[in-house]
Amino acid sequence: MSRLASLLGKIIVWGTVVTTLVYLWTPLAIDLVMSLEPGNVLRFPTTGVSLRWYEFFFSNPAFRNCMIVTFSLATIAAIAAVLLAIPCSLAFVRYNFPGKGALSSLFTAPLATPAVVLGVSLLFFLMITIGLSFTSLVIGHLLLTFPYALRTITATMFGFDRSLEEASASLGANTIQTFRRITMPIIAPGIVASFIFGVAVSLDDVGASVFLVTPQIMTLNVQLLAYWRWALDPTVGAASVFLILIGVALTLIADRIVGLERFLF
Amino acid sequence: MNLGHVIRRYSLVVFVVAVGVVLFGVFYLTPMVFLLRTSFWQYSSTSGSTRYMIPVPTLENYAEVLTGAYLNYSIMTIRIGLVCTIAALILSYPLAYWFAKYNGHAKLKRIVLMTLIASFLVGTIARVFAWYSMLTGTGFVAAVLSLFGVGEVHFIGTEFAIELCQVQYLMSIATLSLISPLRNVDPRLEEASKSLGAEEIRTFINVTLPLSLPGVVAASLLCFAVSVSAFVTPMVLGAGGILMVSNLVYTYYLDIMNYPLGSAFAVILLLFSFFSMYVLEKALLSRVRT
Repeated sequence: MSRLASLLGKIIVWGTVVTTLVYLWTPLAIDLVMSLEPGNVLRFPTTGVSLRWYEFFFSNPAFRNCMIVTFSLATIAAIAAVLLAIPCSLAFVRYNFPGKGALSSLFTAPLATPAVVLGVSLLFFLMITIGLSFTSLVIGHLLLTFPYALRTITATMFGFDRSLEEASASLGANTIQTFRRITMPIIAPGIVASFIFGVAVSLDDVGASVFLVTPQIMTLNVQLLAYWRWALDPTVGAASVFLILIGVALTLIADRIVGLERFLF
Repeated sequence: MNLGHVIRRYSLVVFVVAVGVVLFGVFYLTPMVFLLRTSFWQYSSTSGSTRYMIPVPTLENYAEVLTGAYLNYSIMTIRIGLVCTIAALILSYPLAYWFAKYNGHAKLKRIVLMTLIASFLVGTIARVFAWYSMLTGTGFVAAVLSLFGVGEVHFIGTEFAIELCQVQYLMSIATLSLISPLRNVDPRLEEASKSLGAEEIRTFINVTLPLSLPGVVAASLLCFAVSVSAFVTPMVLGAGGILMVSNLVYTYYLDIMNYPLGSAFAVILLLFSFFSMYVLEKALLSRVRT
């Protein structure tokens, strides 16, 4: 009986490990294969091997403009989130002040806000105030990336030995020198992790962006979705492969620089 | 405390408050208040009125959202959320258990962790289109099924397609958030149980599982909040046949331009997500901890 139970446990555990690997990689691998279809329709098995749709995707000026918007948006949103999150987490970790609890809940509220709701409310507000522009996308994405950056950097600061800073100050370093030479290197992994996360969150977003784009300032995701609605050719397959490669690259960079254990919630 | 300290503290606190007021006060809270207010306004189909709505308070938008055909969309959204959450937990718990409690297999663990994080970072659009190519009528699944003599099966436009794709994503979230709670279950308690003669399976049921429950609750609520907010997945894989609440927000805002009704849907969606993240989490966690 006990042997049977432990055997069953082993089967369940190893079964899930194998299932996970198959379940998570198969769609990505199949997508890669099907994106090489030379014809106009996504099909398996493909009727041949061609890079036609990749060529179309990368040479199409509409897609190229969207890529520029998307990548600059992701970079700006991720950097801005980190720059705002560093002083905020310093204040949260080290000092007590009135309204601290309320502010820290407010700062993480976007994590529990569906992106669509965030986008639609912002659209509505911007329509009657400053109108839509690249700035509105940046604001929307900053609301998405900032909570992650705050959480990651705060976590790094909790394990921080304050006496190192005191030692630096007592040896005559001023505030800025201490921050640059002591504080910064210690929280650096948290900063890199938040940056990578911020880029990924911004690149991933559709729900908020879909309300904030204009025909001139489009993100790649929204453009792909619009394209998919009227043409079902393998372009979206080729585009997905491109996005998958970015995701895998971000993972490898994260692993190299900060270690993947940091991404456990 | 010297002067430098006081200045540093003061400026940091001022900075936090400024971020709170400017970024969150102006661009998060104010828009939310506007959205809430609009959801209580009347819709007007005549373009003469400002932006198709009349600032007269009414409950008719909520009456519409919470009755008849529209109620079914909310129910469908919650049902898909529940199915996805349960499926993700069933798959993720043993995986996280293996990760946290089994010794060795360092290389395989690294591959699995990388898979989970890569799958998370790949992004929704890529994942959804990958599943679309798998499940479309001329896709991989149809080709495999036809080898076994199964004729045309339509996956696109079903809840099942949405769930398959969602669970793939939720698995990463659930596993990554279950590993730490399982690691934090004190191994000495498990050793004690085993040394007192309990079998591995009993130890699991009586010690490890109950102690990891707070983590399970937190992971489920996170998965639920994420899956009820799904937008692209139902849009592409539901292909018009399945609509979730976020798709209705989009349709009523950008296609039909009925802002009051769209806002009411947005408020309902926000409530689903906030309810599970704050109210349920508090209630359930205090329960499982005692």
